[in-house]
Amino acid sequence: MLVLAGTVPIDGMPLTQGECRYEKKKLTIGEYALEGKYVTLGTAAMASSASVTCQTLGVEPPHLVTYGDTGMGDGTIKILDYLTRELPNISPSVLTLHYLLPTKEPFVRLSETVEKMNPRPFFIADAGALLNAKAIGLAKKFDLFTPDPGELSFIADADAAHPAYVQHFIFKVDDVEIARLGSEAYRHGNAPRYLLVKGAVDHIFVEGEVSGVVKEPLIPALEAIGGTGDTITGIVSALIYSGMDPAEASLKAAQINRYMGELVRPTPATRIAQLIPYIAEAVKKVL
Amino acid sequence: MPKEKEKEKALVVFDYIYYAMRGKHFLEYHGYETREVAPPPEYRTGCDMALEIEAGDVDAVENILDQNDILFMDVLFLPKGTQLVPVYLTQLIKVTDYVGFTMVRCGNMKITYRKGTGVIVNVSGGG
Repeated sequence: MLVLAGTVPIDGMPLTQGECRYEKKKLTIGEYALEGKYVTLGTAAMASSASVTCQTLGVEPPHLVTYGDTGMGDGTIKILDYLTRELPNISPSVLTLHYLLPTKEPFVRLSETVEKMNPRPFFIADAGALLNAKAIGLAKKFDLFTPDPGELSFIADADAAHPAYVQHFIFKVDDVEIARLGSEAYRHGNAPRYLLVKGAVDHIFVEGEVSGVVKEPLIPALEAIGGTGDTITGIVSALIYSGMDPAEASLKAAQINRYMGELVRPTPATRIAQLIPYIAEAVKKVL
Repeated sequence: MPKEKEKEKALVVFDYIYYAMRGKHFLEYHGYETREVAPPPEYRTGCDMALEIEAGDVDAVENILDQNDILFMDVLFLPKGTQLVPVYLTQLIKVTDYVGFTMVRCGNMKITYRKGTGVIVNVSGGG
């Protein structure tokens, strides 16, 4: 099973978990349905893209664990506690953590639970979960991080506890320093075995070394569109779940995301909801 | 000319940046000087910001925060001369020009607006 977990910024949404399926303008999670703009908020964008990819690959849909959290941290704790309790019963082969607020003890408990599982799931983190894993020294407990260049500069800075306090000048990171920073993050123990860095040029790392880059097609408007990093994380999670080698899955996910953009020809005002339906065609084009 | 005597400082640290931002707003509204800084490492929880205030204002600041339901983790009195890292957001800002749109990036956050109207059309990043 592919398990995805993270918050959505919807006040009052209870702990919700179950099989998730994306249809146009609708994401169902078990009996619960997110519609309209809510389909692509927070972790829902990642879950929608993973669902489309799974449908296209003909594998089981992902299982989403989510909770409404508008920034107060209560949803994060609920999700982490639920996973710590239930993961041994659910027994996922891939587990992806996404929008979670910083917290220490519940995150450590979940990490210990994952470590003890046999077989242990392939463990992925993006967004808040990635930042938190690095901040509390648990990066090596994961198998794949999917940072953007800002998040990469944070994990490469051994002393930084917040992305705003990194030593590296963030804009040089985009084009020229990704290889160096990916290697440094791994050397300091702040990156897992695999890294997929999402940027103007996507970089894939295996044990701190660049194993591949993806440059084409180049769709500059994608950078401005909220959620285009989330979709890569959903796609790569589904590809790994389908049995693909993680480095190859990272390369293909980066390509699929770019072809998704090429099919839509977006402007900076295009919404991620307009792009997600095209993942299916992009998957067929790349695989 | 005699050097102005350095004032003693204190630091208000928060669990969540939400409260730090609201705290800054209310303290400035009541006329207190604050400065956003990175808290000391032992007080960092991973995604936080602290407010530096004058040590003599601590009681009043605590009252204002309490009265406005702003939860804070602790107040620390800093030894004289303590240098904290200010949050120089201006160093993290980059502007990208698109046809018809402007994207402003600050650290991980990107906000894109339509030229002419200023209407925000996309928000991206932030973790």
